[in-house]
Amino acid sequence: MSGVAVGWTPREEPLAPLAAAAWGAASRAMAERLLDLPDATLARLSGVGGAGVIVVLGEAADLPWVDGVSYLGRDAEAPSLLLPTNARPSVPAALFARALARRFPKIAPPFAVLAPEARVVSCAGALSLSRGRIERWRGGAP
Amino acid sequence: MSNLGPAAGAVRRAITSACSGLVDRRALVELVALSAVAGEHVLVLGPPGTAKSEAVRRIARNLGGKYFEYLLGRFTEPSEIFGPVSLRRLKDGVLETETQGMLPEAEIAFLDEVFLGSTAILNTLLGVLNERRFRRGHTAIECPLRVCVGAANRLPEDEHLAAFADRFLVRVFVGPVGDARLEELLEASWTLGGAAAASEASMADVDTVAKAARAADVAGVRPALAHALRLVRAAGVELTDRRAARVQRLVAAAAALAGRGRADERDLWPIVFAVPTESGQRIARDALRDVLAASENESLPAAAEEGSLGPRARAARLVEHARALFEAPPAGADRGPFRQKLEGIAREIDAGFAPAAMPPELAEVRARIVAELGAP
Repeated sequence: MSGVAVGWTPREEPLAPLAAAAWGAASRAMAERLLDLPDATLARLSGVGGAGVIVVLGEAADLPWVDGVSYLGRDAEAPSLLLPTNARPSVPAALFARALARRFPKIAPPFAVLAPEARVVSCAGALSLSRGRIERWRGGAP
Repeated sequence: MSNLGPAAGAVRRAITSACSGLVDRRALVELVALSAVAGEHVLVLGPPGTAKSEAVRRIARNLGGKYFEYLLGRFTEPSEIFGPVSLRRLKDGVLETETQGMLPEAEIAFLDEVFLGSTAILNTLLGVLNERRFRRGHTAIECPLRVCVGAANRLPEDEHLAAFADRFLVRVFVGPVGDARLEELLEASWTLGGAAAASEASMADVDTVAKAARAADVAGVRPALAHALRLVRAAGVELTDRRAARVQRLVAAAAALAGRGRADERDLWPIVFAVPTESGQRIARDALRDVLAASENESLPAAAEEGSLGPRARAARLVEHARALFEAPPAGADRGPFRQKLEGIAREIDAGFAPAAMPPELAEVRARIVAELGAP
């Protein structure tokens, strides 16, 4: 996970949520919430986990909610990014996507962009979620 | 005007109750109520099986009006809609229609497949819709009709039918319930039979609000309305002078249903529903995005939101939804679905509003949800 400096302004019309990201304390709450989900819902979700961060991908109605979660969606101007559904970057989304691709050439898109720090997480390796995987991530979480 | 608050409150409760267990049709229900207050008619367009008639039936029942419903076909006789000829009077050489229980005496009417009606039916209907008068043979009566809802799969291409369709000022386009709400649809359809049958309001309440709407001050909002109409036309959307002029009635009705005697920029959103085509409504929404950003209506949150796509209307709907859930929290073992619904609202709040742009009422509701979901 790495970051670039960018400002954010609220979106009048939100993007449709495609992913839910949580970091810090919220990421631990997210892991607990995922473990509480019914098997059928969990099976429909995929995700990636890193040091202190989880990004879950799936249909909007299946995405878990915890206090502090950030929902991400796709802006037509920057399809390689998953941007906050409720905020837009202070620079044009297409330029932002190109800047991120240049800044992080070794990270495969799509990128989940976590505001306000504009940290990026690659979702290219997202795996289907299982209780075992979530528990292993929880065991290693700081 | 002093009775406006209680009457608007009764209509609001009627809408809320009508929508209980009805998935994704709240805007339609609200627009029928708005049109009843404005004295305008509604055309609902969409595929069969999309709960059009159920939505209209429910709001009619909850508004307590005399209701008439009929599925028209190519062979439907005028007597099936307007009533049979009185044979007793015919013996005396008088052609009279027995209208009891039929459309001429209805306060709310629903005509499914309305464009399949014969020329004789549609011609008579024109008089009922336009002038609230039924004339046939020696029968000429004033009709108490507040709103007629017509339904069809699509807009007619025939020019004569298009002229008839133009009498329906409000256009609502419905589609199947989205994939994300299928579980809700299945649950609702399973329990539909248990829906309450009581009236929440009366036609007297509708009439009180309608009277306030007719007396409402729209002069202040007229320049903004004219500006909005220019924007719609400039975007290439056809809106006849008749429709443009009649939008004022919807704007005034929206203000009255919100309990206000003066229309303002919060009440301009009905203009979108006066645009006759689905593609035109999409273009109008985009063209009016800034003008309609202030849209809000406590009684009609879903319609205001659908018309404007504005954040204030969206926030008002979420606040109302959450408050309705908190008003009747289930006890004990039933709390699972309750918490799930709250989680759905929290998801929509967090997905739709940056913390810095969250209206205070919504922030308050969110805090309550966080506390509830944080509790064991």
